[in-house]
Amino acid sequence: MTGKKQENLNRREFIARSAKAGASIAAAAGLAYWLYQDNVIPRQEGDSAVFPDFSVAPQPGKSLSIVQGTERKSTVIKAIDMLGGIEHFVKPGDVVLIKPNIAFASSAALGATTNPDLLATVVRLCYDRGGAKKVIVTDNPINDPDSCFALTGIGKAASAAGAQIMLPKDSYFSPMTIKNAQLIKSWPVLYEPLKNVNKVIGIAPLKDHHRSGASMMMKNWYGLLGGRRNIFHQKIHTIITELAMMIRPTLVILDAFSVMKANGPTGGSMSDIYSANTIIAGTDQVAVDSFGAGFLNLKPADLPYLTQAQQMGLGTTDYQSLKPLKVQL
Amino acid sequence: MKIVTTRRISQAFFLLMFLFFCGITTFGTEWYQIRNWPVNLFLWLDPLVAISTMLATHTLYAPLLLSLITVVLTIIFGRFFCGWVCPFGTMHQFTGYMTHRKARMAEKIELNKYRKWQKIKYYILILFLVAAALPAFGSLLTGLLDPIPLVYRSVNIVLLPAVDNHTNIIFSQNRWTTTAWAIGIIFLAAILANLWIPRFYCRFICPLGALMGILGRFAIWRIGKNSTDTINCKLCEKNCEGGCDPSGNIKISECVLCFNCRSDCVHGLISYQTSKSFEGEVTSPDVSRRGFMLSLASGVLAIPAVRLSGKLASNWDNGLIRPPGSLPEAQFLERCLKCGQCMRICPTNVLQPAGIASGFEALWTPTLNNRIGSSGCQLNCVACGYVCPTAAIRPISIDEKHGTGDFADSGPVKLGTAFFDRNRCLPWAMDKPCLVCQENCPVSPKAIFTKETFSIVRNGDKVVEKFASDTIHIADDDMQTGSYATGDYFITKNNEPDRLYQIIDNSKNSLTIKNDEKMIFKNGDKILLKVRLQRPYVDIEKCIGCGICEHECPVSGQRAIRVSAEGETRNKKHGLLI
Amino acid sequence: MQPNKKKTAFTESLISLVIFIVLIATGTLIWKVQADFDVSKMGIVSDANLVASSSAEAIFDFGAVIESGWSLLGVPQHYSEATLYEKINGKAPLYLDAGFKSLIAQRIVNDSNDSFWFEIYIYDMAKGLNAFSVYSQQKRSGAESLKGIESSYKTENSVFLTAGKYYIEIIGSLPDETLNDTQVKIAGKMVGMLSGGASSETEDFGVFPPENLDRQSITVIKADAFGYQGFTDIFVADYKLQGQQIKVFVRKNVDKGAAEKLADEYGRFLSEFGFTKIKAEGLPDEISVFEYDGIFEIVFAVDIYTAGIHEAYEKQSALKLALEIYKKLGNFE
Repeated sequence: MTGKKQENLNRREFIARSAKAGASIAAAAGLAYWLYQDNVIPRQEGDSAVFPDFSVAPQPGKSLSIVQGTERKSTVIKAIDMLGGIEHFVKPGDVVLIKPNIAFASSAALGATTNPDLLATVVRLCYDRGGAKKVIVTDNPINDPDSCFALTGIGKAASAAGAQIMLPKDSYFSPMTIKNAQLIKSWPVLYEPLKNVNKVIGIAPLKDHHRSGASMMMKNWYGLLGGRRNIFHQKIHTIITELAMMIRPTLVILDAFSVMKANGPTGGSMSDIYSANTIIAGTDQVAVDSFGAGFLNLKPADLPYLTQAQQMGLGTTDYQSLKPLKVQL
Repeated sequence: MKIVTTRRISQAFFLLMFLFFCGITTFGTEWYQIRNWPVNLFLWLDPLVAISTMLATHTLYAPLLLSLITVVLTIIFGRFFCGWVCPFGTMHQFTGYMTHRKARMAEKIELNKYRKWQKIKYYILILFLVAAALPAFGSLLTGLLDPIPLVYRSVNIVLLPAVDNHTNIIFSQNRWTTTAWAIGIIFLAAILANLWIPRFYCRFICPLGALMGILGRFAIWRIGKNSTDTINCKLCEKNCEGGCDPSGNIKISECVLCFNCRSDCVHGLISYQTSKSFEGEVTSPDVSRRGFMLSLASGVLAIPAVRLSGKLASNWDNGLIRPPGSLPEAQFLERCLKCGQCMRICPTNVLQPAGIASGFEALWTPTLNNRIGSSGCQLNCVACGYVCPTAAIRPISIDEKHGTGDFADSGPVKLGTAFFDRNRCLPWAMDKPCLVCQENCPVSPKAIFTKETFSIVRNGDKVVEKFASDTIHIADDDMQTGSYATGDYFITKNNEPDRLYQIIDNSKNSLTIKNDEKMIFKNGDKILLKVRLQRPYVDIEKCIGCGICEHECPVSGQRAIRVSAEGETRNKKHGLLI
Repeated sequence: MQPNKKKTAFTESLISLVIFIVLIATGTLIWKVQADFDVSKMGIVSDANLVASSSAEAIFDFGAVIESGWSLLGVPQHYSEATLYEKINGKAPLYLDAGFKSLIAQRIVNDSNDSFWFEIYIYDMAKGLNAFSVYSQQKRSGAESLKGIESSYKTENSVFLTAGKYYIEIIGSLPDETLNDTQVKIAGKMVGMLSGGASSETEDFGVFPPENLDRQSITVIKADAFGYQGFTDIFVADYKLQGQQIKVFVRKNVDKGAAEKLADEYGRFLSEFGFTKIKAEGLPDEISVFEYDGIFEIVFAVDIYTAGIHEAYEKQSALKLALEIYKKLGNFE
């Protein structure tokens, strides 16, 4: 009798104990995974890198413009003019950083990278009409920076327009921690080129993206991350949201002239591209991306990072509420 | 095969592995040199290293992930590490066994009984972990008593060099270790304590054992009695390594899984089983609430109190010259285990454990002692960062150290800056020519440069008595033969102070002049004996603080040029220039 | 007491054996780890290391495939599973899920006009089927096949093909006919060099009844087909039937039981997503038809196959096709 009771008790106790042991193991493994860090970056006291808010309040009713045209140059100028012109965003003496998407060392025709003419046009606008003191172009590409800047034509176009190109170097990266972020914590970020800058403009092509659904303005800031950033592909929507938390740009310009509708983000074939001949410019990157999603037959709700960003108060997915200014040239 | 035999084999296996790793931690590519031997294996397997650095830095440095193996196995099996793996534990067990093997049974039972003071180790653990976790004051003290860093430190930089300096098998030149006496005494005391109580360190001090005692709280299998039969012979306690009271209310957190009790029990009453011991068991350490609060409070106060020294603020110790790649001091102290691996690998032996004078927290952390070793910090060496188990010294590339390639903008890593002590420097204080520091400076262009001056030597005003061909005879005869013949000495005439005549030889009362130009000395001319000095200066923008100049300085005691940590790149606040 | 003792002795020996195996494994692992060293990173270059780096694995000889008037631009770049992200970033999971082993990429540039260049990607996918999977999933619709190469097509600026276990992309900088012709020629040479005589298509394609089949549409999806985790190694193909395009899928399972289980589970997955099972007259009971908002999904198990129709918009043709596939796979004709 008692022996049996004892045995029962033992079994119950054993199961409870095993469960606790299992839970401890899971907790230990979870903690280890969470805190894992393979590159140790020294934090310098007093200069923990954080980007300031680069945004400029839009003129009333002028925060999103959508322009259809025949070629990029006049279209982008019109798109910016509809928001009050570059003069509203870039003031004389400003140092402007333009962040194109030059992730891959592929030819401009493939639409995987920012169009060089488009970039050059905006650089010139900043100088000629905005009175910028200096325009810097930087990106931390996926492929090696030299070939990316050369083969995409961005390097040539940017220098011809008078911009200073800053190729990423290890020493340009500083660990950054974004408040309330899960992923960007003491993570190396391309900080140096943005250190003495007071305006930031993003220019990116509209692309399909195998992992996240679409690569547009928010995803474009991925090119400011350093380190083993591909681990973030596991949490692609979170990282894109955090990128929008990390940087509040002055202006974003989404190029939907040739939209990569499939096989993104690299593409590779002209047949991955279709012409939509549109430039979307705006001060709210969430709204710009939400509108852009339509070119890939996606609704804002299909891209979780847009919803997350809206919840974080980084912008609105309801771009209609901004009363977008539309025109066809 | 009996399980205790297997345990002994396992212990021998890991002890030999550990000693082998200590032996081969030298620079090179032969099988008996560093190659890629995982010489940090035991440090990486040590969960106390992982947990305490995790608490201090809120990150887990990649290789420390290995400790997860130990954690998981401990959660399932209990403190197997102590009884089967730990090289320090094996040393204790062996010493204890050798000392007491001939003792009478009653004595052995008395030696291995459970003692309530065994709980001290938990208080030590709590204190250390709280000290590590304290926000803004995190400091890693675990390495002082964590057995793995302790045994690495003791064997690597005290025992091995002490032996090898007789044999010169591992290192052809003798190796030195400052504070070796203190490290040695602690090691010796820990070993000798076994003469009193076997596994004294494991039972009373070891914070790693304490941690594993806590981790093993829910162990699936544990030692215990498999029946309520009571024979009360206490045979099982005779060789109990943990002092865990297997015959009675067994203390699970003290059991090191030596299996001696099971093997000694002639009645078959002890098993390694999933059920509770039939005599009852105590799973949690015997830590009282009061004791817990006390160690918690001590931990909370300890580091802030230690830091009152200001060593991490304005009173920072410029004598602590950290190796290349070291993190800024506060972060360095969050990671450094004082394990001595960097000092062991250092090819020049310049890395030395800091003494207590550099502050309590800095005790046994690595610092450059340029007087020791074969020659400062080598320009092309970053080995210390690659053996550092916790990246307190980051593994940096040669490019980063030199400030070349991708690091061209950030400049070279500076450990500090060399300063001249003009009161000791031969050309500055004694009018003696010396260029050794400048010649040995490895950076290009050299960080040490000179300015030439001509200084009148003591009793250097002479009167010409006679002049013949190239030799001047003078009235006095107080000169030492040949002492001005080095080429650094010159003569000027009083009425012609800019014209220098080089002396090539001298006797007590004559000077021979280099005969390459027209010279006319008349009797009664007043002349001055001058020495040409190249007085050295340091270019603080070029100096990287490698200490080679200090090592080579002929002023052999306190050097006339010494590196101190001002200007170190790891902490911008210690810079000399804006 | 005696037999019990024997038993424990045996258990002890067994446990000891396990522990010895662990110790030996530890020792072996350490031996392996130490042999892979590079002390140059510590600051001293070892001779052994220099030898190791020069005897890198044999690589594809790009020089052998290029035409005169073209030159190699730079050296070939190598990517492994761990580094594939460095080349194609967000698209890497597509390849990794399909069994990717390695990638070699080489740029080739025209000697007279440096804006004419293309890059050859050779993905080693370990198996022909894996290569076909990544090929088929990225296939650009309506593209023209290359003559004499089974799985291949070209677009305005690029050529895509499989050769044995390799998936090959030749991506040009501009849409241009001369460039395109060069790419096609190179593709032909590469097939000869890389396919090793084996076609990447397998007899598994025969599961699709040939009537009305759009052969070019056959796709292999290695994982998460139609958003369902259980669907791995799914063959998908389009049928043109009564003016409708209908997507058929087939999966080969280890046995009949597994096939039925998978069909059931997929049915449940559909139900969770709001599909309702509807009655379909004239079909065997094994064939389940689901409907949601005018979209039809059909799934059934027959023999060792789990198969069905995905996202059909017209019920009758879908049912008809489902029955045909069912009969074909079950050999009921």
